[in-house]
Amino acid sequence: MEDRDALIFTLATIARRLRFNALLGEIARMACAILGALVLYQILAAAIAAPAVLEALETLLVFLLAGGIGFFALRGLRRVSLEEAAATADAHVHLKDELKTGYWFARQGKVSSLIDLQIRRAVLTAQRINLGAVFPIIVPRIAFAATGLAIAACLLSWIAPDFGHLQSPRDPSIATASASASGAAHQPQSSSRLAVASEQEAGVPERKLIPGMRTMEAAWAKLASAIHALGSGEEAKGMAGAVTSRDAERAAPTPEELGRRLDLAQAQSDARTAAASAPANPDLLARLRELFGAGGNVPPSMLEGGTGDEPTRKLDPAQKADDDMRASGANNPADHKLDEGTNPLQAAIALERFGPREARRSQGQGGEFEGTTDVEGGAMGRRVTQSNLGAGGKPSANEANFSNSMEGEQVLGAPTMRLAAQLKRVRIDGGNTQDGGTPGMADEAYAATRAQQAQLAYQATSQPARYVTENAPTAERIPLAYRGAVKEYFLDLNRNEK
Amino acid sequence: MNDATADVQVDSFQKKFRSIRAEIARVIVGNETVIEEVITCLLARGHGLIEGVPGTGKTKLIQTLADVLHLKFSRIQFTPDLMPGDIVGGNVLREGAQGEKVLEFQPGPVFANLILADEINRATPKTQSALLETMQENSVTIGKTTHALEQPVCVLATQNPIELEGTYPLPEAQLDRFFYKLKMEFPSAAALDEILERTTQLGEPDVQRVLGQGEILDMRDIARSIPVAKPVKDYAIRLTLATHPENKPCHDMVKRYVRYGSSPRGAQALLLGGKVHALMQNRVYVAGEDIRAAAFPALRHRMLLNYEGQAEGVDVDTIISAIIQSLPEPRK
Repeated sequence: MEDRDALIFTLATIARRLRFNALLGEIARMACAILGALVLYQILAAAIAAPAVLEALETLLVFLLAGGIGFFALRGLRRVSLEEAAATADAHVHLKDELKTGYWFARQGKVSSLIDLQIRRAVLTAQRINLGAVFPIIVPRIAFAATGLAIAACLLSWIAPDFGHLQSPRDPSIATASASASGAAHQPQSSSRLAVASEQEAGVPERKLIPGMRTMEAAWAKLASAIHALGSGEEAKGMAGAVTSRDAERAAPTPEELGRRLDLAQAQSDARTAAASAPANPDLLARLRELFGAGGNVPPSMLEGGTGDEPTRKLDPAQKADDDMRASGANNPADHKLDEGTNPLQAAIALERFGPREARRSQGQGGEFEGTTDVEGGAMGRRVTQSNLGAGGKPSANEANFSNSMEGEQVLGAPTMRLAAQLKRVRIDGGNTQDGGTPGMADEAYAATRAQQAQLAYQATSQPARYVTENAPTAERIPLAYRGAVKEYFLDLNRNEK
Repeated sequence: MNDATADVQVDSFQKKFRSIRAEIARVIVGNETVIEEVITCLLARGHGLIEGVPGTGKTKLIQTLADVLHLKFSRIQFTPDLMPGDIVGGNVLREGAQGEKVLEFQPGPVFANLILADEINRATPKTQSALLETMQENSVTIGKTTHALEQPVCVLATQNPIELEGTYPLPEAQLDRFFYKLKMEFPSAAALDEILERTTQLGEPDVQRVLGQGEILDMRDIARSIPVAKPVKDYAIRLTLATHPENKPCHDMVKRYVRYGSSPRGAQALLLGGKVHALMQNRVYVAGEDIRAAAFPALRHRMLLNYEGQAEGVDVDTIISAIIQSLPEPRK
């Protein structure tokens, strides 16, 4: 074997060793990237509840993983050239480019005694290199990181065992969670079946559930079971449809309505118990008939679901409070004490501005129902009614004017205030006269508050700049507030000259 | 020349080189790099300009080198009133044997193998220019006759960098003809102690003549025959071009402080100096390290600073170092 061939053979051996080490490194990097992406996905899946976001994330991760695998595969399969092998060996053994130059001469094929000598020396040097010591097979450090990530992925899967598995509401854990969360739900299995059936009817494929979604699914299952318990009315069907389609907007009033229905059912049950225990009380029966009859105070909406023959019904809390107040005579205008449960801020405003009588009336009329308060005595002596109609709220039975005899004037927009209340009162002292005699008259006036001044400040900035200093002697373009001072200054100058 | 012969010659070259260096080191304390570079100038068929403050041993170094080598040595003390004829010689009228009058050429001190041009910047530019032909073409033309100088010819000049009054800075054309510009450093405390020990005794150290004229010429041929790989040659070319401010891309310092970059002689000096440096390291190829080692003495006098560079006192070596750092290694 000639020296040139021997040099190339030795360099090829070095190149193979380098390529193997590079391949190890690339494999470790690829494993690190894949496991890192898996751990990241597990963390994000636990933190993000939206299925659409998760699906998009899955797709993105799949593409990223595919790209990463391709990238690392290309890097790992890249061949190490003999020049690179020679350069790497030179750098590792501090050969001062001996192998590189030798390989270059061997490749060029030039013939010279010194070139041959150089190649022979390069061959001897390359053969003296202990490949096992200079280029050992090294497990790259990133492999340890990949191992750590693998452990982390296993731990995350162990902590969240439902991850990655097909899961449906038929899962006993979810059913148990639904039952425990609903409390009053009587048929958890049936509710689960309802949810599953509704999903199947809607053609919704079985979805992968993640731990973060289980609470939401349990809430939906609770709603479904409660609606199922309502019966088969039109309203119940509508609510069931909203829950099945996961329409949160339509299903939002459902818990409130359910609570009201449950209270009504409880009241019916209590009334039946009371009627059964005290059948000989004619006054009570008469009172109940009066209340629940056609002319009673109980609104018809409260009687839905009932037969109309029940002797007693649960009264509206506001109405009950009103009745109690009437019975106790606490609505006496002379009594300035405010009721409990009223809006304390509005009560304080009314008490301070309009006196105890009006405050008493406003609180008594407005009541605590949905925070509606009627206040008499707005700006310019005008009666102002603050209504929740203008705010998009629903009308209530208690929303009326203070006299309860005429419909209150509806005012839209922000409430107005008296002009005097919007200003602050300031005292202006009288100025000194020229000869130091009697000072001028003091006066009191209304001025803007600091907040109003702050709102008006931007208007002043839009005005053009004024040249006060340059034009002070001519009194031109001097701000109005400074003109007096400027005039006095120049008058004093003239007096001193005299 | 087969491989064995080449190997022997390379080994012989290195031994001779070491012997010269060792003999000089018996007299000159420290400055090993300058000693090697002076020998490099001689073996690369170049000339050297040694710069250093007074008393650092510039002249002593060259005198010692002449003592070590069996070469014809001449010394020219450059003074302001020195004339070109005093250097190159001239025709003198002589009376022949039969009483006839003939013009006979009287060679000047440049007709030697090793020429010491001491304090070269003290002579006028006209006198300095008398060396131009000698340094470049190794010949002297007087009248219509060109006299070739006997090989080897090596001009080693000295100059003082701080005492500038009454001096004439060398023109660029002459500076460029110097293969290397060497800086004689002030000795360290230990070196100074050794200098005092050697020079304040009764006798001074003697040196032996180790090499003759033929051996020097052989060493020159061996140095020239060292092969250079193309990437290394490209590296030398890139290094030379990087000294030019108009070259793109060039280093910021070059663009800011350099007026003119190195001439092609700079690239020649890089490669030849690299070859001798490689042989000194017992290598028969030139590596990037050899080019870098030759870069400082070969380029520092070939880069002209602009006004800003002179005003800020920028050291050319700093610029060369920045260029080397910014330049990628030779690619194979």
